[in-house]
Amino acid sequence: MSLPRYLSQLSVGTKLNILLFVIFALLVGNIVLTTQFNIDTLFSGLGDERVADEDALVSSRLLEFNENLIRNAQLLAESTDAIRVAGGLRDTSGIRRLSESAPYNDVVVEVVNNDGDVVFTSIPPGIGYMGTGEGRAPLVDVPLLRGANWSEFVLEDEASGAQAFIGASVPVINEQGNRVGALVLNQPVNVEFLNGLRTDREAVDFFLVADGEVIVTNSEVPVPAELVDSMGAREARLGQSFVNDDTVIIEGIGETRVAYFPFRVNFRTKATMGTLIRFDDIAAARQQITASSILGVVLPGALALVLVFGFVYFIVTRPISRLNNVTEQMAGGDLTARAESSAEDEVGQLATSINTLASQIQARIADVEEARDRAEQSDQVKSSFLASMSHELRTPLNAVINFTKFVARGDLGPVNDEQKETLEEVVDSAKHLLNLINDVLDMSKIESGSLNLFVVDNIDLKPLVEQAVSSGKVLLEDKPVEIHTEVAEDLPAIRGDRQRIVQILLNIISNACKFTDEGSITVRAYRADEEVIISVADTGSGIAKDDQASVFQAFMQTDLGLRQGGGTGLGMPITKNLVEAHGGTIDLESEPGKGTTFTVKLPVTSEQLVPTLA
Amino acid sequence: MPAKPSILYVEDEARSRRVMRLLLQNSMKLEHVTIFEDSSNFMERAKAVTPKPDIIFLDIHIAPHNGFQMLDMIRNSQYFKDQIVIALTASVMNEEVRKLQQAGFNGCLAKPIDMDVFPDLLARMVQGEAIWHITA
Repeated sequence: MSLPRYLSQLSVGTKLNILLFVIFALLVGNIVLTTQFNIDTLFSGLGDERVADEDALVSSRLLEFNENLIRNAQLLAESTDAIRVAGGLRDTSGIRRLSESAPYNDVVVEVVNNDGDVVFTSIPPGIGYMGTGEGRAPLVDVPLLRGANWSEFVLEDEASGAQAFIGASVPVINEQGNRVGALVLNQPVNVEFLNGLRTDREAVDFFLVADGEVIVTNSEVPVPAELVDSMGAREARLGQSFVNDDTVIIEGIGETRVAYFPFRVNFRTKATMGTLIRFDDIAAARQQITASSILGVVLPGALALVLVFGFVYFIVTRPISRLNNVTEQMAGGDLTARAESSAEDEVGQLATSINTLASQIQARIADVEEARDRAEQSDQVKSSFLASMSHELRTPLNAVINFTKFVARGDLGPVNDEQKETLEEVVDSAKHLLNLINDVLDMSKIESGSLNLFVVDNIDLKPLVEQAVSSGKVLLEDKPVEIHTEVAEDLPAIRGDRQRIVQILLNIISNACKFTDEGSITVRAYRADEEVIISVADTGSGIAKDDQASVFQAFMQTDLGLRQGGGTGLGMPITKNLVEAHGGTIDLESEPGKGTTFTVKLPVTSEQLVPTLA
Repeated sequence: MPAKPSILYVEDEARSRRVMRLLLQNSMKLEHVTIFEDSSNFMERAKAVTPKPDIIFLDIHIAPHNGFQMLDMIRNSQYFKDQIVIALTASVMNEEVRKLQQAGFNGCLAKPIDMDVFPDLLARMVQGEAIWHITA
C-alpha cells in the first residue's frame, strides 16, 4: 500500500497527532543536540583550561624545585666542609655533617674533585643505587670545568633498574679562590616526589616514560600502554609539550585528559613526563547537566505533547467522530438524530448545518408523505366516487331494461307490434346508456390514473378469444359475414388482468363485427418471440388515413363510426390504454373500402406487471 | 340437481326484487323462490327456508348485514356446507369484483341482469360452474 493511500485511511486525529509528534520530535531533537553541543563546547573549553592550568602549575613547581635545589647546593658548596672534602681531606666530622646536610630526606649529596672522581657520597656503599660510591663517576655527568651552577634531569638505567633523578651541581671554591671540585645534589624522581608535584587536587597523576617504558608513576592504576607509546609521548621527547585534545577512558580512573612534556637528561631529551588529568568529575558534571538539560526539555515537551494530543482529541477528533456517528445514524434512516455541539467553531457550525439539513430533510419527507397521503386519499375518493356512480346508475337501469323487456315480451299483458318495437327501442337505448356508463367510468379511471390491474399468471388466451368471437357473432345478426378463428397450438399462457384482456378482445372483435357488413373477419392469435400477437382483420368499410390517428383518441369517433357503430367512441381509447397498461401495443392498418386490421401485441410475461397477491 | 332449483335472494331494493320475481316466477315458472327484504336474523331465516336453497343470490349493499357478512355466516355454517352463493350487485368495478372473488363468492351477476342469458347462467351456476358475468 502506498503511503498517501495509507495516510488517507487514518483518522484526522491520528494524522494531526502524527504531525504534532513529528514536529515535537524535531524540536526536541534540535534542542537536545544543540544543548549537547553547547555543553560539550563549554566543557571542552573548561577541560583545556584545566589542562593548561595543571601544566603551568607542574612546570612552575619543577622550576621552583630546581632553583631550591641549586640554592641548597650553593649553600653547601660554600661550606668549609665541602671545600675540605673536595680538597682531599678525609675529615670524618666534616663528612658526617655533609651527610646530614641534605635539604630533603632522600636527596643524595655528592662531592667531586677536579679530576671528576666522586670523593664523597651520602649514600653508603652497597646501598641504594648501583654503581654509586666514592671513586666512581658522579650520578650527574657534571661538566665541572664549566664552573657554572645548573640542574638537570638524570636518568640512571643500570641493571638494577631505571631510576630518574633531578640533579643540581655547583663548583666548590676554596678560600684562595681556586676551584677544588663540585658539589652535587641528586633528588630521585620517585612516587613521593611525584606526589609532591601534585597541586591541592588529587586529580593529577604523573608517569615518567623512557625508552617506551614507564620508569615511575604515582598512579594507582597501571598506565595504559597506548598512552606510554603515544604520539604525544614521542612529540614531547622531541622537546615539545603536547596536550591530547581528546579525553580517554582509563579503567579505575574514568575520563582523563593526558598531557606530555619533555624530561631532559644530560642536555638531551631522553624521557617524557606524562600527566594524567582526571576528568571524571567534569564528565560527571557534564553528564548531569546534559541529562538535566535534556530532561528539562523532554519532560515539559512530553507533557505539552500529551496536552496537545488531548486538546486535539477533545477539539477535533471527538467532535468530528461524533458528527460522523450522527450522520451515519441519519444515513441509516434515523433523521431524528441530532448532532450535539456547544462549540461555535467550524465543527460546531458543521453540527448546526447537519442538524438544519436533517430538519429540512425531515420537513421535506413530511411534505412528501403528506402529499402522497393526500394523493392516495384523493385517489381513493375518486375511486369510491366512480364505484358508487356505477352502482347508482346500474341499479335503476336494472329496472328500466328488465321491466321494459317484460312488458315488450307480453309477460304483463298483450302488446301490439308497434308498442313492442317501441319498447325494444327503449331497451336498446338503455343498453347503450349502460355501455356509455361503463366506458365513461373506465375512461375516468384511466384519466385519473386509478386504473389498477388485477394481475395473475397463466391466463389461457384460447377460451377468451373464443368467448369474444362468440359474443361478436351475436352482433353480426344476419349480415353475410364469416368469422374465422386461428389460434396457434403453441399459444402460451400469459400474465395479465383476465377481465381486462377479455375487455380488449371483446372490443376489437365486436368493433370488427359492427363495422363489417359483408365478407369475412379473421381472428388470429399466435406467438412471436416473447409476445403474443392477436390480429383482427375485417373486410369492412375501412378507415381513412386522416382518421386513423383519432381512432385511439377519446371522444374522437369518426362520423361514420358514430353513425354505424352506435358506440360511445371510447372503446378503442380504453382498449389502447388497457393494452399499454399490460406493456403491449395496438396498431391498425386500414384502406378505405377494403378493410381494417387491428393488431394487439402483449408480452408473455411483462416485467412491469407484478402478480397481485390474492 | 333439480331442473327447477330452490332459490334464496336477499335484496333490499324493491325494483330489483320485482325484476327477479318476474324473471324467476313469471318467466321461468320456478316454484321455490324465497326473497328477503333485508338481512336481519339472516341465518335463522335462511335455515328456515324450505326446501333448502340450491343457490343463494346476495345483494352486497344491504343492512344490517352486508353481502360479505352474510357470506361469512354461510361459510361458517355446517348447515350450508358447500353452498353456492352468487353476488348479485350493481357494484362491479374491477376492485369490487376482486373483493367478491377474494371473499369466496362462487360467482357474480351484474345488475342490470340480462334476462335473455339468465336462465342458461342459472342452470350452469347451479351445476357448480363459477360464472363472473360482469359485462351487461
